[in-house]
Amino acid sequence: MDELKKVQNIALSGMKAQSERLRVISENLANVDSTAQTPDGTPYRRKVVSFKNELDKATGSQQVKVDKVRPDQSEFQRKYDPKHPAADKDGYVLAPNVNPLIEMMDMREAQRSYEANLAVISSSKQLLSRTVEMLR
Amino acid sequence: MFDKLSVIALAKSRMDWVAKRQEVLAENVANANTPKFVPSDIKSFDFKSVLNNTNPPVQVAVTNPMHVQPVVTDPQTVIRDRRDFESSADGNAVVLEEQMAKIGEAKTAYDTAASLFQKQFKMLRTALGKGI
Repeated sequence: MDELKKVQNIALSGMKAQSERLRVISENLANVDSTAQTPDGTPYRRKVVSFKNELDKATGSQQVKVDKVRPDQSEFQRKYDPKHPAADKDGYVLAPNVNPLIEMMDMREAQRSYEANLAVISSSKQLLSRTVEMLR
Repeated sequence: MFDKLSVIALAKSRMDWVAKRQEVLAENVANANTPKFVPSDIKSFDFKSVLNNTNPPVQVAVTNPMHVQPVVTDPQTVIRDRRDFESSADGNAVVLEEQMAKIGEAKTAYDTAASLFQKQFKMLRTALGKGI
């Protein structure tokens, strides 16, 4: 019985971590066109989330936490747009290193992981209600 | 009294086992994106040792009549999957499909044990003459 409650706690920690990931993905996607304001400024830098597992002292189970949200160190894209206020002397503008396709893929993965955790919760709920049914 | 009935004791330990397994599987699913995470599972349920009680849990020695004998429940052993294939680039070895299948399997086992438990009580009730 206690284990089934722990199951829900663990799955909830997973859902929390995945929703944090989804938040960072939405930040990246929203800033896909956030270029710099001046020629020497930097545009929006993509963020990446990483997870770690952590022993929850209260329940003694391995829960998942968001480790760090770190900047993606890859190169910025360069677009030719001489009219842009942030264009350099050759007419190029630095654009964020966000690839919408990669973000979409990441989003799907987060969604699937979230759903898997939801399925675990509903499964443990079914077990609990089966236990209660035994009283009948 | 009912703990002595082997079917009920069996169903109880089976359900305990499934609940513990569900917890371990939930850990695996929650950590499906954690780098370098290796999934675990529980040692499979041994009907024989439960039936014969040949493998009793370790008991604490009582050296004084005033000592209280602690009830030691048998701990289920958690084993780590020792496979190093099918792990992603970040070293995570959780296969989500496999974990979900295991959860479904565990649920069926739980239902079976619970039905067995109920049937046993129904039989007792029939023996007492309280209808079907």
